[in-house]
Amino acid sequence: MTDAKTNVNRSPRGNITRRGVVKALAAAAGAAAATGVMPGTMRYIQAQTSAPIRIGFQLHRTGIGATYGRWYERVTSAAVKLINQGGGIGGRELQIVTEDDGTDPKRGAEVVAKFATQHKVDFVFGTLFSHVVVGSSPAAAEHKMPYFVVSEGYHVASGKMNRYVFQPGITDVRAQVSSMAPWVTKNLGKKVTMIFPDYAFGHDHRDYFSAALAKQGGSIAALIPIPATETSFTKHFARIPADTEVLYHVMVGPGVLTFVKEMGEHFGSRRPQVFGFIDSLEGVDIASPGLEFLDGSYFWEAMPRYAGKDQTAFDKFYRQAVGVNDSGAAVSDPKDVSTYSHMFGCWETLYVIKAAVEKSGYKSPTAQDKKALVEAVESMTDFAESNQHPQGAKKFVGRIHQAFGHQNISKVNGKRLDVVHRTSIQDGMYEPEADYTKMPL
Amino acid sequence: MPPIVAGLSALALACHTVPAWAHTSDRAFVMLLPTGYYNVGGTFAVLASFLVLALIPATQIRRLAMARVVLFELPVVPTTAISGASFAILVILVAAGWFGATDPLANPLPLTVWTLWWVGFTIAQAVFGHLWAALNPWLAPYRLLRRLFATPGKRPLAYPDWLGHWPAVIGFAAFAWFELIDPAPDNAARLATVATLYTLATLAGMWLFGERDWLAQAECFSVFFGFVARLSPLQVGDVEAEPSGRRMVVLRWPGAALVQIGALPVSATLFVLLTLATVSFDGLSKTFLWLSLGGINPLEFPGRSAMIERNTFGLIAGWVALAAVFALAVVLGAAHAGRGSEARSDLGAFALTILPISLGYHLAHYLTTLLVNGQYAVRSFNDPFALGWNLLGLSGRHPHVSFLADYHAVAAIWAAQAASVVLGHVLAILLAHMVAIERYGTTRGALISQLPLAVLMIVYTWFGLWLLATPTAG
Repeated sequence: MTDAKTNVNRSPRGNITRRGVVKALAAAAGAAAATGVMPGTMRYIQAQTSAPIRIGFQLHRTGIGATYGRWYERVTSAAVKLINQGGGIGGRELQIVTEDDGTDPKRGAEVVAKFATQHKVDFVFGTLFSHVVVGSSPAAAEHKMPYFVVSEGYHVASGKMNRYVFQPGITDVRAQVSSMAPWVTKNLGKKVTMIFPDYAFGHDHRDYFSAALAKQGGSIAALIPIPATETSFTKHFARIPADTEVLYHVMVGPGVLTFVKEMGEHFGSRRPQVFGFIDSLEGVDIASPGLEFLDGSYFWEAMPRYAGKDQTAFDKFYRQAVGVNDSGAAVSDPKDVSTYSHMFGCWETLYVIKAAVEKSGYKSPTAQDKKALVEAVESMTDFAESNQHPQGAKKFVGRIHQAFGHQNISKVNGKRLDVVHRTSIQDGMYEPEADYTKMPL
Repeated sequence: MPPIVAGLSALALACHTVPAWAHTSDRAFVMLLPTGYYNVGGTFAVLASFLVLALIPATQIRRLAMARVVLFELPVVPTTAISGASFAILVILVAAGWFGATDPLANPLPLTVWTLWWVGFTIAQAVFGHLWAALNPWLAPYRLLRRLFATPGKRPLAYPDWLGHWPAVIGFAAFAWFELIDPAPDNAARLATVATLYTLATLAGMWLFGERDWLAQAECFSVFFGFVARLSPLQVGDVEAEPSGRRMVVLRWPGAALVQIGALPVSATLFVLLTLATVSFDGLSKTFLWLSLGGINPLEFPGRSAMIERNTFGLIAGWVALAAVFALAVVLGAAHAGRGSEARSDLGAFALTILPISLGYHLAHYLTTLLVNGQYAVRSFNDPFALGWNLLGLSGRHPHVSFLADYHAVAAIWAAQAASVVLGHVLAILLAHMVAIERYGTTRGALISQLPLAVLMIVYTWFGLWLLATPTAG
């Protein structure tokens, strides 16, 4: 959080001093403006008419989410810097208050409560891991705290969260998975064997893809659940039926490279079409040893890691602001591969919050203003592809607090990924099964 | 059960769509390495070192234990001034903990305490000798308080014999619990409070029982660093017959100074075993094996909060088990050598030979933390109070962490980790042999008495290497 100078990340006690400093700077900026020597940041401070908008950033700084957290933090810092350079939110500075939740559901709930009672932030945002979202959501409801998650879980859209929980910056897993079926059946094959980790994450893929596949006239050749603690996979490959046309894999965790390597050893050069989710290899260089077998296979990507021929100006702008090169790695450390298919969600969510604040006339964390804000978000329907939404246009369904966007299918070509298909938003949309707007505020 | 927790549990059960996933970490690359060969090779190296010692005459081993090269005269160290500076830094860090960044990777307190000090300084102490003797931040404030408020001529209470090293054992166990099991040891404000309370407790102990006794037996970090310093090849004041009273810095065989301490009391023996048990348990508690034993899905690791009871039990059980196996090995060894009556003092005499194992694993286990969080620590000094300062010109710079996702770098790191574990064990075998020769007189007696302990050390080598290679979460 040291990158964005205008952004703060401090304990409540520290903020008193900071406000004083900001006020003093504002006064000085006024004087400087009169003399025409005011630098850029000072212009912004002068534009301030009231206290900053403060957003609590529930960050997976430690624990199993830390790698994602690192990139969520970088994207957030970059977005906050830009938002503030552009005059903040409704003319008010945007400040981020970071708290680590240890990727721990219980701590997640405590952090949300702390944001509400100690830091007294306006909103909370940034949670990725689904079990932390599920653990934290009741605290958001209890404190009537608008809570914007960037998790891609189906939990928000399922209706099992509450009126205060939104996911406006990233498509949920049900939509992602469902939207893959039309292209997969048309281009790779109709008989699919799914190999997935045997717990909720893998089960989501199993259930949503099986259903979407059936709709496209495809069929499941076999479902192969892999125990979560498995470290050797060869014996499971023997269960793949010979008439399998497509192998759908979504392994995660430290065993994933071993999984790919052993898959290569099992199939050799004669293999079915292979389709996977980039979740398996987020933050991992596709050119890593052991991954050679994936050459020519396909991956879902929310946002293409490699800048390709269809790169938009928005993607280019976003990469530059975050400090990511055309291979999806850090400019400052080109081997540091980002979590490119997830982290854009932080960026886009902050811009949704900005739009909602400005639309609702939100001023302070009063019940009335929060109600207006929640209703403003719920009334949103479309986000146009732009610098604010570089992943692409989205539809937002207020009833289920969930955004739907385009997805990509990329082919591994040598040591990079190239997009071969971009889904329509409609491909992933499903009939809402809940309606948060009927819940009391 | 509080309503939120109850609601949460019900929700978690009702809500089947919880796609949490663990990230492909450096362990993914480690799993591609032929770690099985490393484990076997490393274990055999330790076994071989034991066998080679059998061929070396006892006189040579004694000579090695006593060998020393005088390097230079130690200049007068302004201990109080250095300690004062150290205390000032502690105060600044604690203030940063309370008033600075809430992000644990931006606040200098957790980064300094857990990475620079606990991981890094411990290694420095083992390499360069007793730095803590001057850097201990509690000496200066204690001496100042004494000067200002102590009644002249009144001596502190005598430190009771029965208390032994037990306060240090309790202190270290509490510290390890906080580090390994508390849900949020990285939380800066929480850590600042803990550091303040510990400082007050230490000053109170020093006030009651005097600086020397309290630090030598009761203050867990001084006890720990005191032992660790004896591992260093650089020792101070170790030359006999220096009539001028000059203190010389001498070069010795690493750990030879440990052998001279003699038999430790029970409390100190358990203290040394605790240092190894805690760092080993830290490794074990993150393995898929440990998690699956508790029915935890490591790919959906529920966080430290869910592990408190299980890991508290594991930490204690690990310590008890290690102590039991160690005691069994030493007692069997003494009995085997026909000196069963010596078994009790043998326990204390061999305890310190465990220390190189502890340190070797400490370095291996925390190496990646040191490499990654060390960078965050430096960056945190750029703006220690989150006021927008740019003291070191590092604003906007990000730590380099890509080596954790690079096969060749991970392979190099793993090799260094394995080497650290193996060298720690080889040194332990050698020190145990030195102790055995001191106590049993002959190579043959030493080898016979040492056999069970050597087996334990060889098995522990495999265990340590396995911990570094097996899949982990959390």
